[in-house]
Amino acid sequence: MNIWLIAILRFLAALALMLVNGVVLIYMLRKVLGRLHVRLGPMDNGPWGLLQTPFDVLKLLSKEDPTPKAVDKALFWLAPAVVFVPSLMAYIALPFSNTWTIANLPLGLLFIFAVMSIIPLGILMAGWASNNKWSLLGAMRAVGAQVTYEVPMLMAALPVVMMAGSLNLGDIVNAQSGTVLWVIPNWYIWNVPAFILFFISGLIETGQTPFDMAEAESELVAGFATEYSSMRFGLLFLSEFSNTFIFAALLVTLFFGGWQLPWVPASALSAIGFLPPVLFVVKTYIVIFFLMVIRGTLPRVRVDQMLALGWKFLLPSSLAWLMVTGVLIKVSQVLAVGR
Amino acid sequence: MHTPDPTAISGALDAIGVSAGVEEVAKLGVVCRVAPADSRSTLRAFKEGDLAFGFLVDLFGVDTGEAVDVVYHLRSFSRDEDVYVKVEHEYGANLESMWDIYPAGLMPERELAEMFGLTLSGHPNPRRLLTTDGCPPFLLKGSEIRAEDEVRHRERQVVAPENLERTVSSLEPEQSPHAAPAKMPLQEGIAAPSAVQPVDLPAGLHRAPTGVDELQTERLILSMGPQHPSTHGVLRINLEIDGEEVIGSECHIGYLHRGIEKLAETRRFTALGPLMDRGDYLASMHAELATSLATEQLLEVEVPRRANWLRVLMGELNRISSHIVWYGPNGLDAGSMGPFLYVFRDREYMLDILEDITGGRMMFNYMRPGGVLRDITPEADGKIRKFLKFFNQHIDENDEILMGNEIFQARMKDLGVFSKEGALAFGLTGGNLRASGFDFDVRRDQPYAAYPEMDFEVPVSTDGDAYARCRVRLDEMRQSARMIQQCIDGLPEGDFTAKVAKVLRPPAGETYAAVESPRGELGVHLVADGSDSPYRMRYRPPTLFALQAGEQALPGTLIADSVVLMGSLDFVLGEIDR
Repeated sequence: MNIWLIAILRFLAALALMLVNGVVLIYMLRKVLGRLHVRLGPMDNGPWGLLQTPFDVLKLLSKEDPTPKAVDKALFWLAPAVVFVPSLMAYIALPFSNTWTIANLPLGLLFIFAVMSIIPLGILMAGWASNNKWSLLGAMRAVGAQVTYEVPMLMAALPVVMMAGSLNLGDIVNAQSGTVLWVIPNWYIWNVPAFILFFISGLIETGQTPFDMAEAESELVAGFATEYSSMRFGLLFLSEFSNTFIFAALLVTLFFGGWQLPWVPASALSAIGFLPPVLFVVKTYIVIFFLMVIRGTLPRVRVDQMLALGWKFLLPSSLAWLMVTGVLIKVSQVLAVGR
Repeated sequence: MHTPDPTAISGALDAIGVSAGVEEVAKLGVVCRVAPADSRSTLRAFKEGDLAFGFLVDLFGVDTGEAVDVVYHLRSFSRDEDVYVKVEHEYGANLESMWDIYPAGLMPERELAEMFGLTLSGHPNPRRLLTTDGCPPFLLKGSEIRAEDEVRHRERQVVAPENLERTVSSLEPEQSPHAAPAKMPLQEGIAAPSAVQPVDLPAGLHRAPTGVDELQTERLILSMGPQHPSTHGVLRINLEIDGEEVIGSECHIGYLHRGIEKLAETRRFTALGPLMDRGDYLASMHAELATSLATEQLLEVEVPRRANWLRVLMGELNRISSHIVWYGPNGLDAGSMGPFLYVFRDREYMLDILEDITGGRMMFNYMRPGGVLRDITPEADGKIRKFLKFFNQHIDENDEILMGNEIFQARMKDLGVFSKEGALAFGLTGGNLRASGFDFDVRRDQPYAAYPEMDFEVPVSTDGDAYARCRVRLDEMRQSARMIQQCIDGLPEGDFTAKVAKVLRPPAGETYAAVESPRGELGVHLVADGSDSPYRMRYRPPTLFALQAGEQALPGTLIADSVVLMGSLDFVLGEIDR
């Protein structure tokens, strides 16, 4: 097949996945939050309110899109794209199975971190261009959060990379096959401190409640998105849900064995072509469900409390744990050789 | 309440060379009349001398037809005495600010000056409070509220023409027309109620130090409100911010001003209830009760015992439903949506009960002079019993779900600390005062209705921070549930209202009645002239005093804290603006 055609088809697949994810996740968020808050969530449109989010998308698409007079027009229009595109690009490296990957990048993990770090730039553009003090404050918080979470997050992922010996996400998944002591799945979740550090940093990255101060609605109205409406707002909104999906997918890949099932040989799973991607998505959604439960339960921390957490706890502990993991790996190698 | 000794007062005033007319007025108490020139030394003597009336309950004016009577309502908590200092000012005269003696007068003085056409001198922020420039002095007898009067228009006159071309940020903070006035010099000896004082935060979490390396960034004026989601009504706070830190604040109120005090002068005594409902719309029962009590005091009506018990029952039900609207949004301010929806289950059920009994869910008009509107039905009785059963369970749940949350505690603790002296100086009452360690509750210390027969405790905390205010209110809900149980079990037989005339014509006189509303001491000062409507009605809004204290406490906090701090003071803008 034509290489360009393949590229375009793969791009469209990523786009479709992102859009469908967005719609499903919004519905899921409403339902999960509803249940947590002793209410039902959307019930009127379609069975169990299933059509509510498609209708919302239609509404966003058909709404008039006013541009406020005092905004910096070029930046104002560009910002949603700068937020949206990196989020889409991150889908490229996700390993849905050994064969189902949009692009099998040797440095997949690094690639995802690299593109995701562009997003706060777009948020800062949106906040600055809006010429609104609330937007600016929200954008500054987002940037502050980014410099806080990014280093610890990478540092918390590195122990996994050291254990797997690769930055390729597919290799990391394959390294987690099999069992330890015949019963315990060989997942990297047993590297508990790395998991906890990665999880907290990820909460900050995705702007989940306790760390959603970039758009804290009770303080900053709507944060950086205050002046946006219609589909431009939709893009900002969508990229947020997409980030949640990417973070959850990364968590599954790094710590929960990706598309694999415990005690089932990887070759047996791969025999059924569609099963690994389905497993991967199901696992990701389970993680997202827990993220939503957190969102519906906790209050928000203050911005300085988050910065203190990032710089005084996450960064030193992730560095320390990186060193400890290195020593442990070395010790286990020596022991293995000695035996 | 005791009556102070008039001779002691006149003796003390004579000692400083002030000739005052001290007399005891029936139904009101001791009134001390001084000339405007002597008002400062008189108030200082009351505050600092042996008299020790340290608390300014209220400050308002009465248009007597010849002059404006400025009334300072003072209280001594230790002796449980009230005294009224009246100063007669000519129309259009200059009112000297007494805020350095009684800081609680900061906002009431501004209101008084604008409502009676006086000029204000010596005040740190002598602008109008409730209305904008061009409004007639509404509370003078001759003036009327007309449809064409713009009570609160956009503040076009606030910006001086020569400043219009310059942006706010290019101005020095002192010059800026929008800027909050520089931090008010707090009175010496009174601990600053602001949260700037360095405090030890819980381990691991610290507030950003002020002015790191003397780094000064450009100051922004942030206009928070009136349509901001977390200002609990239509409040506008102008925040002067340096990054995330608030360095100055000024509250703009009056967006809900309906002139309740003025309208009361054209309503019959029986029709005051619906008017007062629109003040504190979350706890209407209490405002109604205050007017009813004042009217009864003027009429000297004896209220049947059952009516008094019903008043307590409904008042406490309303207190719980009002506290719920504090509790939920307080969590919402801190970013937690769950507790809000959890407590609203209880509130829905509660409003159904109130609707069954009174016919209204918000504006009850249930407390009437002489008693209450109607008796409690057996169905409502059953519903209340059912409510109590699950409420006592839910309240423990609520206590854990929000108050037990560590993030919430880290947000609330050591935020907006008011010392006991600071809280008293700024006129805080109710839960806000009790959270600062001052044990005063109108229900227990100046009992009304059937409260003397009730068995309840008054929760007090000594921390004075936002978390203490939460804790006090949550415990208050438990005590309210206890009282409701007592009312339901021991409701005495009898009439639910005394026999009162259809048209009430109290004899000429003056009186003050206070109730403990969920937000503090809600007082009604009634002046009757023998006709069927009040000559003057003053509504003491407890939350106005909370607001002015909050305004003082804001500088030094972060933007995120400012929302939580103002929320923790639990105010209702309907009552502040009246």
